[in-house]
Amino acid sequence: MKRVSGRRIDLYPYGLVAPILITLTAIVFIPIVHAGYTSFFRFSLGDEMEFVGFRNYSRMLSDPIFWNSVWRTLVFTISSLLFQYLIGLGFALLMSKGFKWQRLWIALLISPAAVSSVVATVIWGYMLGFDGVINFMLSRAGIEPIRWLSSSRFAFISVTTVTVWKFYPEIMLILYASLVSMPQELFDAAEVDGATGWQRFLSITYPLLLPSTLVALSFRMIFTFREFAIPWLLTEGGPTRATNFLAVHMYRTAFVHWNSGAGSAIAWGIMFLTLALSIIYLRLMYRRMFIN
Amino acid sequence: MSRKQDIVIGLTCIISLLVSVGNVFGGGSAEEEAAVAEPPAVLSGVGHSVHEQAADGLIEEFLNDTGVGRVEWDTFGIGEIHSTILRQSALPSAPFDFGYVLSGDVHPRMLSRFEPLDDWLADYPIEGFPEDFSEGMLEAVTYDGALRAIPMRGVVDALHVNVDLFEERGIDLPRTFEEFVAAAHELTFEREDGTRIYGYSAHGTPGNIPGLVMNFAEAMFPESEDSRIVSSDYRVTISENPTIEAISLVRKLYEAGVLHPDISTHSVDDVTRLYETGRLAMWVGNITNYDTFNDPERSSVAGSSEVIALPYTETYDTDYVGVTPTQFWSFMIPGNTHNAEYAWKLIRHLSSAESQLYSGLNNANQPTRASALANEEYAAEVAYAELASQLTEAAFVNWPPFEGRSEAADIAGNAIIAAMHGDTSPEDATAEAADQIRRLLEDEGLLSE
Repeated sequence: MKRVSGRRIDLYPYGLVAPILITLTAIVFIPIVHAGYTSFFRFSLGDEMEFVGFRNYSRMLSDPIFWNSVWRTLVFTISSLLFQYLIGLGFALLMSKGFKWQRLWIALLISPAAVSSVVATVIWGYMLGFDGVINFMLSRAGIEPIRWLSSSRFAFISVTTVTVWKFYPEIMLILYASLVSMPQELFDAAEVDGATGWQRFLSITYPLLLPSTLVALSFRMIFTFREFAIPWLLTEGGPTRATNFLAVHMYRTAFVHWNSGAGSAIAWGIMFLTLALSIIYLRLMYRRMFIN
Repeated sequence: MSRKQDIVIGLTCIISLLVSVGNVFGGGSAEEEAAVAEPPAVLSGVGHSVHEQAADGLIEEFLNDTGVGRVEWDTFGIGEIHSTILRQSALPSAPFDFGYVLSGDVHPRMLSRFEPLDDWLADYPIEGFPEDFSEGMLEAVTYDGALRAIPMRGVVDALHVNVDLFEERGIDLPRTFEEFVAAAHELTFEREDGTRIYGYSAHGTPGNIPGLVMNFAEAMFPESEDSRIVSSDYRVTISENPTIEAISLVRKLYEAGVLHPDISTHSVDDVTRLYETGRLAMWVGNITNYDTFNDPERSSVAGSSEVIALPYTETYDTDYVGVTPTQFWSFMIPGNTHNAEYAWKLIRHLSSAESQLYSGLNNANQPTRASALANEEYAAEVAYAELASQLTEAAFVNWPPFEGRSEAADIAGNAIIAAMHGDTSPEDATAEAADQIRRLLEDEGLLSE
């Protein structure tokens, strides 16, 4: 306990959070600052650094490949999040009703989250290959095989689908926890007043779910915007950059083209874009929750 | 919990964290210094699975001679090997002791991070060095006047053919490029059980598909200076006629179903798997794959795979046996390892004439020592020894060395894939790519027109 200007300040909480703060500083904040520093240099990993000022940023902003990545990442994030939420919400609503084998079903539905991203993506890659099991089933049904991974349009759909499959359980779990903790009296009262199921959902369930939705979508939006493993393992950003999302573009620039300075600039670009997106989303959600 | 207990717990957490961080960022240097004089318990290498295979049967003698505990390999794909080596050689202390680098993926600034080897050669010489090695290879791995790597594995490409499929379709092995194209069409068919056979394919990711195009361009226009993406004198030639013709041919083959539909996402492992399962008739790849393709434990086409040269166009009168892009792998030691002495001893052991011959005879490793290539036993035992020797004479390097090579390959590859898929014409795709590649060469002060 310490006295400052006559007030007693308790230092123990600060002492107890100090380890995690130090850890975060070491593994998050320092690398962010270091990346910002290196973004003003031209260098390859392990090489001499040459100061180039804002050149990496000006090239990034004038590079059509970067803007293609921005656009595709935005479309991927929005479409992927929408389906993650709808599927997660749907399953959460289903699972919140009591029925036989409910726990088994919950375990099965959240199993995609338990599988390693890399393992799951590699297996999806085999399934989605032109000679894979999905095209085999299509051909048995008399449908022409589809180039799921080597066609620009279908590669985007494939990557989005695998991402939705992998991450909807996270949203489902958050919404499910919120659903089962809602007071049953509200629904009973509404039912007594003659509200239909849809009216109960719109007027009671959904508004009460907004705080959980805010949390779930905030986290998922940030992680989906930065998604790397799935597009890289399935398509390496191709074909013809159809799935060249920002994280893939950054990795390729820094570790395939060995342009670490430019890669750092892209990393900071991703950070600012994520921040902007988060601010826009949070403002909209808060407005919806507390004003509307 | 009492206040004193809170203090103790908090201080314990902080101290533990600081000790951990200290160890990560270079603690234990005194221990590491003491270990330099003693053989390490583990000598770690970074490379491809073929490198570990190449050393099979040779390590025990090294362990017995030096007292090193064991040798371990971390194996990766080709791209990951170089990015791993580049990253880890920039750390205060490298977590690996030796590695393998491919000539096409090494550039001067990367070489600057490798341990100079001349002093090690003076202290522990390699027998027959440098006479028994290619001067061109040694020059390619020399930086700032110092040798930085030792060539260990030749990568001469040849055309692997499934002769059973040729027999099944009633056609002869191609002797000209025109016959090769016709054969590729004829060998593309579907069996009664629905299995689709492809006449030809390649690992066609953006960074690799330019190789396919350059092989075709070289075969169709062998006397042209413009059959590369970037010429040896740093002119951008992707939008010149030979490359455009080659891309047009690739597009026709793709539209006809000769090339696998997923070629643009296929790694070399995907293509070799296709070949080993009998669904691919022809593939240009490392000549040493002949042993793997004919190993009954690994391949269902064992006994049916032959290797020939990718032939030139019928109008080209030459003594060269065929189109041969080439690269080579080299041993390197990171400049920041503490086990440089024992890493060098391992490299010296694996680079000896006996080891290279053993590796060539038993482990499907193409030697880089002239004496091993010319060895009678090697020529007698290795079915493709003579062809490898002939192809080496005709070998060319696809890309001149420059730092932006990887990015240039990516740009060219995406343009080729766009044209192959029919998204744009070869002319439009290559014109845009040419502009982007010119900017890269201009940045490095290399562009010449």
